[in-house]
Amino acid sequence: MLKPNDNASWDEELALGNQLLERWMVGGASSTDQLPLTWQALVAELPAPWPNLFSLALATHQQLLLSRPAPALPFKPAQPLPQLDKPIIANELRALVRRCLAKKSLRLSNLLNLIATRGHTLHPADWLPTNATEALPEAYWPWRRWQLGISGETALDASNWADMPSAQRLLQLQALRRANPSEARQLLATCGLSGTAEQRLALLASLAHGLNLEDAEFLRNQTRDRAESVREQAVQLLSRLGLDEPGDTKLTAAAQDLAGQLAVETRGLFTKTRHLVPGKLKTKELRAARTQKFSGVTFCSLATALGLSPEDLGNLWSFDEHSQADTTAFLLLASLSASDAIFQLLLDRYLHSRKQDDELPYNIEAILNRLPPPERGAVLLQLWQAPGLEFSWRQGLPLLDEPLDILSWAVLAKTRAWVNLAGALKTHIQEQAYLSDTSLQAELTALGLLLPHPAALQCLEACKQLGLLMADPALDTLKLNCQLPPLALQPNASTPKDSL
Amino acid sequence: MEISLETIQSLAPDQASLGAAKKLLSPAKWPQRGRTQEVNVLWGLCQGSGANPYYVIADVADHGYKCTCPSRKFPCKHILALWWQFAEQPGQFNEAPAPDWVQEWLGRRRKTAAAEAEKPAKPQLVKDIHAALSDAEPAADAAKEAAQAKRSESAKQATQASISAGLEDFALWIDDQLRAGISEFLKQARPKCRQIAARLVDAKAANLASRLDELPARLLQQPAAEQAHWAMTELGQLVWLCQAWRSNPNDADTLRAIGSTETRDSLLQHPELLRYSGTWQTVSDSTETRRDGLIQHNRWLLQLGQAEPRFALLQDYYPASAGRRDNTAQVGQCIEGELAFYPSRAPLRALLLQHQVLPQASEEPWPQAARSPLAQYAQHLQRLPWIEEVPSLLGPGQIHQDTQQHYWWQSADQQQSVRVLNPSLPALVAATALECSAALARSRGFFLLSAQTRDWGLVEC
Repeated sequence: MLKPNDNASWDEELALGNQLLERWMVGGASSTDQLPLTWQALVAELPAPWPNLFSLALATHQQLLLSRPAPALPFKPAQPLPQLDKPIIANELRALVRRCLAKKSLRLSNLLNLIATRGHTLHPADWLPTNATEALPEAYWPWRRWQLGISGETALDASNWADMPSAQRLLQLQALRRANPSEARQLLATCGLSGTAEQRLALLASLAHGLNLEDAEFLRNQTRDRAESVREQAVQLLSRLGLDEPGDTKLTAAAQDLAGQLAVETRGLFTKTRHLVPGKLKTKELRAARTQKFSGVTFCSLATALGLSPEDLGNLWSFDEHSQADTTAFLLLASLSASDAIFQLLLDRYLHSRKQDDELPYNIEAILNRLPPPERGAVLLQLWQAPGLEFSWRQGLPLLDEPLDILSWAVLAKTRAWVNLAGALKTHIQEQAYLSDTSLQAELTALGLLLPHPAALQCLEACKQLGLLMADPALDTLKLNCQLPPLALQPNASTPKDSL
Repeated sequence: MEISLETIQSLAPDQASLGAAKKLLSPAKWPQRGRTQEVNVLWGLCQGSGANPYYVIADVADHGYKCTCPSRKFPCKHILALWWQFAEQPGQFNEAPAPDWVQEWLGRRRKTAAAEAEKPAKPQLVKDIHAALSDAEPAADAAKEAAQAKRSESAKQATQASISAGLEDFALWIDDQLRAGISEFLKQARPKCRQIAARLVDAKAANLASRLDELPARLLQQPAAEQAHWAMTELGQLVWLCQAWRSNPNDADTLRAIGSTETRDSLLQHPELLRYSGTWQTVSDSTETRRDGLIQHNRWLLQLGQAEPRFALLQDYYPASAGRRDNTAQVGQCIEGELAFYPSRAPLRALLLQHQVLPQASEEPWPQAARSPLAQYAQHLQRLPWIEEVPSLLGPGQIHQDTQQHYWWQSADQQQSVRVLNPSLPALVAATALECSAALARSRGFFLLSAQTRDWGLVEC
């Protein structure tokens, strides 16, 4: 159709075709003698408007066949996505995983951890980490490094500190702190906190793991940081070590002020016991102001102001006599700035002294977050079992990184949280025939993420007995849990390539 | 798990529905049927008039149902036919776990039994399932058929004359745009296209009108610097189409591009119908809402285990209010079955005939890609100069971004590169070696559909 004659080259014809197109941009008709020679014979005898139209058809057809855009070189180099150590999840489960990922109530880190504990990772076509992804299991770090444009695994040291992207630097610092606390602190001391206040805060917070007296000097230096949030964090960490910043008059004054509204009383005729009780305040505004004052002190400074040791402060708080708001504020204060031992002791005292009708502190998740994960699970189980307590499965979920192994079906079935949930499910199914309540759906989603495999199997069966359809999307995470056998039950872990 | 004919009779909306359902009792109309005793559900795929079958689910216990057909009768003939077959031949329904699309419905469905009970009873129409069974086909009347054929021929002539007149106007309209300048056309593309599309609808050139109606929207999808060139290319292609009509208005490709598409029944009776059997993999599944309110559902299939690539396009149109008909086709899904292609010089559009969905992706390899990515496009353009996109396979290569942030596919030997038109791509696609990519060749480059990667299997683009 578009063969040039012997005297015309493709380039010449293409140039003429281009000229035609340029002319039509502003308008006008083509004249036959402006066409390439090979086209002129085709359009010469045609009636109007066909010569013009035919020229358009030929010119655009010529462009379609002969003209292609060229890239603006050079190409940007792209790093290949690295393979992970753990195999990719089986193809048959990917649709279920995608459904789980699409759930609004899902906590991504719990799903990633569930799959990682069963020895697998997600397929990168279904999910890849983003800048907003937090709490990424270690299995996915190679993908995070790839996303940050870091090739290979480079150990963090003083020479590459400044060059490393902040997110990557933080991940590596946290890993180093877990492996060698002293080296991590020395590295921080050598390189100094850098970046925005938020980034400096995150770097400093990494010292919370394995905190020891050798960190004190470095922490004291950070109490002079330009950001208040960083200064506060440093003071809190020092307080966890039982140390106070002596020159901090503002802190001392705030502690004295609060201590003035509390009192240490000695009671008993034969056995004298001391109790830390609230001072009497006349109005609720004053009581609310006292509650607020707990956020301006550290555990250690308050103990000093009361003339007590930090251990005594933890021991003497009288839960029966303080208001719920003050107890909550005190527990939060302890979670931020008391030592591990004191916090653990205080929490035990609180849980044992709780009365059946007492409400949980509204920020119990923030308080429990201080506990190391193994202890956290035991406390959570205690809360789920506690009679008269409305502590849901999804409230506990953010505090757990991995499925809770101590949660066997025998234990689970007797927890107050399950009994409540099962009752609500049964009633709901009887009334509605399907599960429309989003809070109940979220509860089942949470259970699917925190149960160990055997308990998940039995829980799914129990849901079926309660009248839930196995096809109900609310059961997706439970079904995924059931279909991901624990490592011990897996015959052979397949390689990523095999599973596709 | 059972249902009686009397129950079906009482559930049918009218006698005509029973009669229509009777015609669907042939197993050939049902590529798939199954039941899941655990939830009292029957399900099946019923081949309707579209490219994709209807998905039919019916509960035999509480008589709930769902069908993806657009019928306004409830239950529709497909539901009635499914129950009916089960009432008479339950053995033909294999017990199997409910497929995903059934599971999805079960998960979403609302139990309305209580609500139904409170509603006032509807007046009962007289229906008789046995009468539907004994309905005899009206005897063929040769004289009537002859008269019908004559009327059809006369109507065809009238349609052709009407379309020819419409195309003459359309040719003048294109000439006007060229004389006024394409830059002017770009400023007022929507009203101008709307006006000429309305004229073409009156002239019975419905498919050409539809393409013109969509032109402004597609124009806006192009980068600003390329819009003028794209518009001229589109108009140039439509000139070829008009010229093809002037040469031979009976050409199937031309008639389909300008007038209307053949019905499923007429297509299946075509003497030159191309049928291909084998394993087909879905490489793309997309929907688009058109200006006329219809949803256009395109599903591209690639035949596996062949030396040369063979693609098939399953295309459906339905009102947005009807919801998506086929919600099961996922990229990577394989089916084993037969496809019938619309007669064409470049056969691409097809209908799905007898088939079954394979539970797992087939092990059969993709065909070899052509050495030159543009060869197949050029070949199709020679046959149908107005074709908008041509499916092709790109061989081993890698996706790169140039300094202007445009994506490019570059062959593994770095000898060829073609522009990738996707506005965005999953990060994974640009971060792995591509063994083979399914793409649609268009005027300015290739639109990637999905790719076989070396390390991560099939990835949707």
